Amino acid sequence: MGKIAPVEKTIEVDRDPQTAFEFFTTRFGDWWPKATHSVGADSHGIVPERVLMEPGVGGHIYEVLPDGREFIWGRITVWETGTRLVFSWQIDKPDEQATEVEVTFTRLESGRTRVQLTHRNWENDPRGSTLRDNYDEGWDPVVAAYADLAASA
Amino acid sequence: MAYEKALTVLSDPTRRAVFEKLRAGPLAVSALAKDFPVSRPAISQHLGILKGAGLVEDKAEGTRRIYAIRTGPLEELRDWLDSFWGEALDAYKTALENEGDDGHGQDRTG
Repeated sequence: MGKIAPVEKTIEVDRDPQTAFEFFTTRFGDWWPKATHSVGADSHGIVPERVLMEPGVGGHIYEVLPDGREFIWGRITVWETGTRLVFSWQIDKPDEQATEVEVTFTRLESGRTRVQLTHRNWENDPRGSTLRDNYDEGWDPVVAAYADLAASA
Repeated sequence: MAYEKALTVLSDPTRRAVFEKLRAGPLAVSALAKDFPVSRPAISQHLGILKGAGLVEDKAEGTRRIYAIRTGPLEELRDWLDSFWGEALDAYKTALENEGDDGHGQDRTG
């Protein structure tokens, strides 16, 4: 069976890897564009009060709406401080249907850091029709839909 | 959006299997049909629906009709995800580099 190629994004930041890693993780809620990139904003018209990444393996990534509702986005599976971070991406989905995001932090000769993000494992989600029932709800369903299509490809 | 139609069309398991077969390369209807426990007209019907959703295209080759995958609907989803992560990382870079010049800004608030 074929696989859909991962989505890959690379940027350079003017900081050392340790700082870049710590900012990405412990300050996740400060930089994540929650007004546009969240379940609350896209499915409910409500900007989340906060988004969080709990540090360390097993930590959750989630958003909290002003009314207290929470949406879990994923869970950290690899935490190598200053080097590598891997987390599942499974909004409203069981573990076996999760896609996966890996972020690596590489020191460049210039002293800057290359941050490379890879979003993969699209083929993990075989439950297309059920996911499609939620399809008109915005952001999460689009990700789910992508996984669904990948599962078929 | 093109991918919505693509998803609906691919909800049928046989159609999905036909689509998967074509990922390896273009095939004639007869070659496709021999791998499925359904009739050749049924396969032709599935191909017609896939074509209607823009997922496959066909061309005549002698008396045969050859079907091949079109990647447009898949690329539309990929483009959306590319922009999703692109915007998120841009926000990260901007926030990080606005943290002051000491490179150890994690004890401050944004």
